[in-house]
Amino acid sequence: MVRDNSAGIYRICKAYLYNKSHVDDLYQEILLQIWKSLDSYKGAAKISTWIYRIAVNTAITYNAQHKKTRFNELPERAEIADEPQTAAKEKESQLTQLTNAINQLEEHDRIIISLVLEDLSYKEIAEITGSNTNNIGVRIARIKTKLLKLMENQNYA
Amino acid sequence: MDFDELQKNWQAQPIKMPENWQSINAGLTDQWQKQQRSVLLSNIFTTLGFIAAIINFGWVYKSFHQGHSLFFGGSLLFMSVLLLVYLWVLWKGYALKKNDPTLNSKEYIYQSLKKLHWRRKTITHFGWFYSVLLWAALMLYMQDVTTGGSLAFRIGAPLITTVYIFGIMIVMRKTKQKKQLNKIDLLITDLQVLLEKMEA
Repeated sequence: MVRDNSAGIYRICKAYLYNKSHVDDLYQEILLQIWKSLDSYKGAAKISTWIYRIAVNTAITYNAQHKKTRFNELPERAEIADEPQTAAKEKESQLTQLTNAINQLEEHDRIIISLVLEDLSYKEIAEITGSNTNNIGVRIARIKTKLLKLMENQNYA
Repeated sequence: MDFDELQKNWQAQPIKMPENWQSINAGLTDQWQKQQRSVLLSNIFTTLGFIAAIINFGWVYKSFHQGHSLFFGGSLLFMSVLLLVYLWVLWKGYALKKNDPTLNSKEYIYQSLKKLHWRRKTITHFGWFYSVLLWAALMLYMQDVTTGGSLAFRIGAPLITTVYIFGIMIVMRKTKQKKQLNKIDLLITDLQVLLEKMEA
């Protein structure tokens, strides 16, 4: 079950961490926490929700503990070619822009958007973060708008 | 730009994860055991040391209590109680290291903050309180055992003990404790800001 969600966990680490060189360490730490908590899973929540909850909480602690090494990385340069790009290159460029835009979001917004990108429902995201289910939709819409705006700004820059 | 397309692109991105699951599993077992071992060993050694001290106090009392005042037995008993209280705090601190990561994030941060504040209080208040009580117990003990000695001995022994205890306390406060408090304060500030934003 952890293996089924491992890619999602890894992407959350990538989206949430300020220092990308720590992604592998955080990923290992999350697996350790899940491994340690397996006995406490009672089946009250979906297993994926439970796993993502551990992932997010471990990431929060990890980020706070590694504050000294926290920094916003210089944005990677997305290639904007004059000639039409191949589909693969275009996707790669879009991904770089997306990563750069996520890097500019605030910590809490990063948590939420990393869960949205994993296609979790509003109910699940509210359950993981402890947010109000009624407000989470508005919040997500606001973050999405901000993210798209940040990406557009990169295109104009 | 379409968000759904971004989402698909994000999920399809190539990622390099460690592939050998069995080796990860073995690594995790190793890490977990290492973590547990280091904290447990330190606590177990301290506990054994303290138990040895308490047994020693008992032996001192049993062998030498005749001819001494109530202060003699009282101070030994008081020091034993102090050591037991310290052990309780030590093991409680060990339990505090285990945050429950299965809670929802807001609750998790809230619980972490409560624990961090408790640790802070332990360093700033409990350390002083404990040392002063230990010092008082030692003074009672010395008051009794130095009776009949020379004036220099009766003043010198408690004075050296006092300088030693408070000297160590001041040095620890300015070095190790200062670092620990700085680290705890940073964590508290960081988590508080995050919690406020989550509640906003």
